[in-house]
Amino acid sequence: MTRSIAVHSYKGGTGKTTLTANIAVALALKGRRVGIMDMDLEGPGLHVFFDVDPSQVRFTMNDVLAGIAAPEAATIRLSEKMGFNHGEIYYCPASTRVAEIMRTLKTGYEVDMFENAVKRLQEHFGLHYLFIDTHPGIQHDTLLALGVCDHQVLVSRIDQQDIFGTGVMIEVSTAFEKPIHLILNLIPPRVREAEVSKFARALSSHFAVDMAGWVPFSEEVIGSLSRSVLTLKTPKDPIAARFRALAERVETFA
Amino acid sequence: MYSLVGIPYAFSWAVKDPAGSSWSTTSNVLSTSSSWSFSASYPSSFSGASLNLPGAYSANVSETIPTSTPNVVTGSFTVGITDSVTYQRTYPVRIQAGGYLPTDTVNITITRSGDSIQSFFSSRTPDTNGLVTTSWQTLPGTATGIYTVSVVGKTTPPKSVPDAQQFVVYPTNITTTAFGSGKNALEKSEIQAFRFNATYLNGLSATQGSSTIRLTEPDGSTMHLATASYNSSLGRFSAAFTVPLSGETGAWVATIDAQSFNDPYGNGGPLLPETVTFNVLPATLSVALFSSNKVFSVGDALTVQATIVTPGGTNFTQGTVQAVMTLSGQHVGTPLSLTYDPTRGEWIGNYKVAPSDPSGTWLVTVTASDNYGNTGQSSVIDTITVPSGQSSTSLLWSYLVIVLLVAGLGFTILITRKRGLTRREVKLDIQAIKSQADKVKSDDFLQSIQEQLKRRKQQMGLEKPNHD
Repeated sequence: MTRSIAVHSYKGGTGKTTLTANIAVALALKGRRVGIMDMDLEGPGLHVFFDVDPSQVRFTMNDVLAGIAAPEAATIRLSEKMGFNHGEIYYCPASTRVAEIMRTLKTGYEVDMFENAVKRLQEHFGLHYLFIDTHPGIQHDTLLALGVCDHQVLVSRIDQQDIFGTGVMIEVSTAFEKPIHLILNLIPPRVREAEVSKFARALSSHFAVDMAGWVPFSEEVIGSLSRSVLTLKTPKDPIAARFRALAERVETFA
Repeated sequence: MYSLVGIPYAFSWAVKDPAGSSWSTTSNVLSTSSSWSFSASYPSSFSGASLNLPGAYSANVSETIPTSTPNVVTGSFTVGITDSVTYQRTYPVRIQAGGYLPTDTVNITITRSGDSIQSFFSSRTPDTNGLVTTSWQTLPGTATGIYTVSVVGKTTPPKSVPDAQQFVVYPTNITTTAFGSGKNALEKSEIQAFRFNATYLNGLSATQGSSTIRLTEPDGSTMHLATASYNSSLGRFSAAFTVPLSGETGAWVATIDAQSFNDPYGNGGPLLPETVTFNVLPATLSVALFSSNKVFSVGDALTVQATIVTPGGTNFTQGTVQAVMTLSGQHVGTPLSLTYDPTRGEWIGNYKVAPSDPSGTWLVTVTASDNYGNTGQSSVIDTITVPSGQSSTSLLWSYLVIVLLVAGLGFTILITRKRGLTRREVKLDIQAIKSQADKVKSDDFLQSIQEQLKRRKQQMGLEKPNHD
């Protein structure tokens, strides 16, 4: 069974893309066939994690949504580069060219183009999971993506504005009648696990959403400057274990 | 009574080949009725005869028994070295000639206006019966006109009539299939995509050329044109058309007219028009308001600024845009007309807060519309303060605001982190969150998204049974 999972946050800087890349790689390391679509069309960043030179990319999601390219033509297989024996990572980059970003933002995209792309990638590559990294905030195109995917993962920091926006985001997302999962990220070092747990339970209870887990702030993650995937580079790091736990949680998504 | 059955007849057949040589045979037959038919096969029934020479063959039949009657029947037939004398481009020209020594090497050449076709030169060894066979595949761009094919052996003695023949190549027809639109329904100002396949008669896909797609509005007379060209990524021809805001709502018909598709070589199609229908809906204009985020007092100018964008992503510049201010559902002042500022790309209007205006948090609702049924609406709040005594209702409003604030506080849940990096409280203000979310939910923006997703779901449901 294949699942499409939109990873979203109300505000930027929540570590949404870091989580997406690490959970996806953790699943691939377990032998799963995983797709990652960069739908952060205003500020793509996944290419940095996967060390993909944008100038070498022939087609992007912007081309797919404009009907210029087939989704599989805009997909890069990273498995060999990452040294996987069993699992697969298929990555669909977004354009980093300003003119193309502006074009996509100006015209938007058709919901059927996006949904067809999701289905096509799932079928063509026989994916177990397809992660869609979205642009933060409440925006037309992002909400369309959330409405199309099977699951919504919302990422938030424990921050007044972030929690407020995440709450609004949850309330709005319920309109799409898709399962919503919450991940608290970048938990400050001096906040005890018990406190986070209590807060997470309160959030989960108030908004009736699944609390998928939380990840502490990590110097290791920040220090990598988004240039590598921790679960691959330093699998013994405690944070990598957190990402793997989240990947296992994703596998329980119905 | 005489019987016409069983009377013996004899006929002699003579066939003269293109070289002037005659070949004969006889037929002895018994009549079967007052009229009957019989035949002789050329060359198998004619000793020494062959079809090795191209050109016209004449035949005549003479009765020899019971009476001598010459030329009771005459006729002719033609032998060629190609399987037709006319070809539409993309069809193969099949060539066959006979009468060559099996050990010979035979050259086949094709010329047009005296020039050899460089892409075709065939050298063949005949089979054991002396037959030489080859073919020339014509292409979409093969020059039209009269061609001559010649077959010449190296060691076979020259034929009395050389193997040479003309044939004509014409433009070919292009068939268009799978003509479809990107959306079954779309709002005005959005882009409709069209796609179709174009194939030549031999099944090859056309990858060059263009076609005009004619779009007819529901009134049946207003037309628009879009040009389709080849999209190498899709492997199909595609066109895009922006439905104008002034377009009529209802069923639009897109047509590829007969012979409207042409490739660069002069091949055309389709033979019959193809159509696709889609539904055009009024545009839901997206109205974004800028909250001034400050408190206004009497005499201040409350500036209402709105960016209004069509579903297609362009600025809405022509129409009527009005702002209505309300406080607890009661209108404040008169509606404010906004004007479009092309330099800023915004609709702007100013309202001067009057002493008689009520104090409180006003809801400013901006409605945009045009003469073509396209509409949009959005609201923003602004806080207006009018000093006590200036307004008869201001005190009441103030009380109401206080009551609302107190009620709101009752719903506020505080979760305090006593230890932490920031030592701040993280408040989970459920009421404020729900209030903000309700605003988003009630906005046309979210409803438009839900509509799109709903339509898409319905489309998927309809398409599934036909999915092959």
